[in-house]
Amino acid sequence: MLLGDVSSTYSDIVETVFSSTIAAKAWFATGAAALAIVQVLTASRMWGKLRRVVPLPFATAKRIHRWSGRIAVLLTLPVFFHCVTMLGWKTPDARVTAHVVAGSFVYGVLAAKLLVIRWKAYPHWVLPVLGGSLAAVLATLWLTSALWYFTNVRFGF
Amino acid sequence: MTKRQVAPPLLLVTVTLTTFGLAKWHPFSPAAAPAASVAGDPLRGRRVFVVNCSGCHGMDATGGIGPSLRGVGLEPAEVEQIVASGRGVMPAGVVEGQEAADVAAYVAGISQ
Repeated sequence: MLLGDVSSTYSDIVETVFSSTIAAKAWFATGAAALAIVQVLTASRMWGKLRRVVPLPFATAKRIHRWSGRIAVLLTLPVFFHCVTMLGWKTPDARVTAHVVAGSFVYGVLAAKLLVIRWKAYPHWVLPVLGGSLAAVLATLWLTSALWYFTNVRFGF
Repeated sequence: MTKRQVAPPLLLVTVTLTTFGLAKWHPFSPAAAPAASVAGDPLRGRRVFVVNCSGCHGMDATGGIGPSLRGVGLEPAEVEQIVASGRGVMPAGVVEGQEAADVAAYVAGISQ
């Protein structure tokens, strides 16, 4: 299969639902960003914070945290595929530069966070710092892409 | 330094650099594909333009955040290439396939 066929096949699949691959990406990123907020709220609850804002038992918060994280990662995969393998590294202005730099870090920070969770035995502050960094990276990505698209190009599917 | 201390930052750097390398390569770039030459319909292209392009180039293509497209002498193939690859702050692939051909026919027409 020609490399170019991959991009046109991807576009054909995505455009059965969305008006364009960019629109699809904006909505997938919005879903991931919304779930990142859920991640921050449930993680805060698990660490004993925001108990009045998130009045959930620990076990429920933990379950929601895990599943919202898994779904958020799934939502980022088509975004990753389109951004990284089809559009690539470009730095024409500050917005796009901030976007590509933050985008390069997102799976690195995620991988480090998952490793710290699995291996444990790290200082108490490491996990919240990595989780907070991941949320900040995702927020930067959404602000420099989906928000820009919705406010400058079009708001719609 | 123990293996457990080194592993997370090492993994972070490795995955980040891999992502960066893949983005520099971007193997599935639409611009890398041979352009499928399809005839564009300028009437349909106007509708595509209003929905997808007028936010930056203005409703009548006289400019806004993006430049004016009137009187700049673009050919349809040139417009299709810009739409596929992006230019400056304009993202690549805002429209694709037949819609790209249609909008290229429309923009080429008004740019003469």
